[in-house]
Amino acid sequence: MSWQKLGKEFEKLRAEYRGSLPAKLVRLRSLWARVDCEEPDPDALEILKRELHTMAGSAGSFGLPLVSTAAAAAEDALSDLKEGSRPGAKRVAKFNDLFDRLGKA
Amino acid sequence: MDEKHVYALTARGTRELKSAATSLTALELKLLVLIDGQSPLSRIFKQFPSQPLAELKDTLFKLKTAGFIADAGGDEDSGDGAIEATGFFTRPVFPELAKAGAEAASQSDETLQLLRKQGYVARIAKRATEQMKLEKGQKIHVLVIEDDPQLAKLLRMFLNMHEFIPRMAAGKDEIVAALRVVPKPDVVLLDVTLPDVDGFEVLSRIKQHPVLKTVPVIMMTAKATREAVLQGLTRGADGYITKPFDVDIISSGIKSVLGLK
Repeated sequence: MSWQKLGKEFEKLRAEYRGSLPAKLVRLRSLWARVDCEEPDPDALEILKRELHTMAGSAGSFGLPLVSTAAAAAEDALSDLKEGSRPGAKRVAKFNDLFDRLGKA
Repeated sequence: MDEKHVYALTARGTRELKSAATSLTALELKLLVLIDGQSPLSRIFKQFPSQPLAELKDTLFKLKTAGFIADAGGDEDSGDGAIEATGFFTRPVFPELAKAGAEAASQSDETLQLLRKQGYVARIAKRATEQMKLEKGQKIHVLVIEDDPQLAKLLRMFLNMHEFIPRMAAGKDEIVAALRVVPKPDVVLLDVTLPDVDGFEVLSRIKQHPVLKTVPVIMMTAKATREAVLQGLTRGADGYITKPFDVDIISSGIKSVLGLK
């Protein structure tokens, strides 16, 4: 049985998940703002990575594979960023692009 | 068998790694996961320090004969670009738990990208050696250890719909509490990344517990690194499913590790 066949219950959960995405994106952006600043917050970086990881792992199961892919790419883009260090211009551009993709997905 | 030789996965070998169930032995599976078309056998064999060389060669021969692997077309040590697995098998099977878990959780970009490029998403579940027969009315108790509340809700709904009895836990305290509930779970679905404990540590603790050690554990993770899969399998995981997943995989994985039809 695929997710599509799980009927109304699944559709309800999917709608709930989809409905929760805008707030999640706002939160991700706010965490990113605490990383991409003069004094980067190491805790914010860790939380951001974790939340992107969670989104990458769950969105596809709710029928949103593009969100999963974009979140995984964003997580990858942060993987070698050291705690407390400010991301370089290249990484910022890449990450912002991924954020846009995430928003559109 | 020349130890400088390099083998690659065939389409059948790749399918086997992606399949929800496998009839391969643990050793066959571990070797298959390490075959990458770049590493010479000498490097792969180093990952099995306690395994007799003859047994390793015999197992490889079986994999080749069965069509899971084939010559990669060269016998040179490729060096650059090979997947780095050094140290993984030289560690004890049950090493310092937190340290090993942290190592598995921090795999390199290169490895992850290579795995994705090659289409590796691990969907492995060992087939139980004995078939489980359910008594009339008997239901399967599934402990789901997952910290994402939405995904946990979805899994609970799915398991209920399929007449499993789910039991949920999201962190250390809840895991302990859920494991204390009688009857013991028939199978555990275990997220690798949890807020206050590493999934691999939970796996090791289950597999070292006198009562729980026989309970099959299926790991679930969004990190599909080769090392992470090996980490799970080496520590005794019975299945490995990468997120996001389709429910088919969960259902067939549970049935496979329990020997249910």
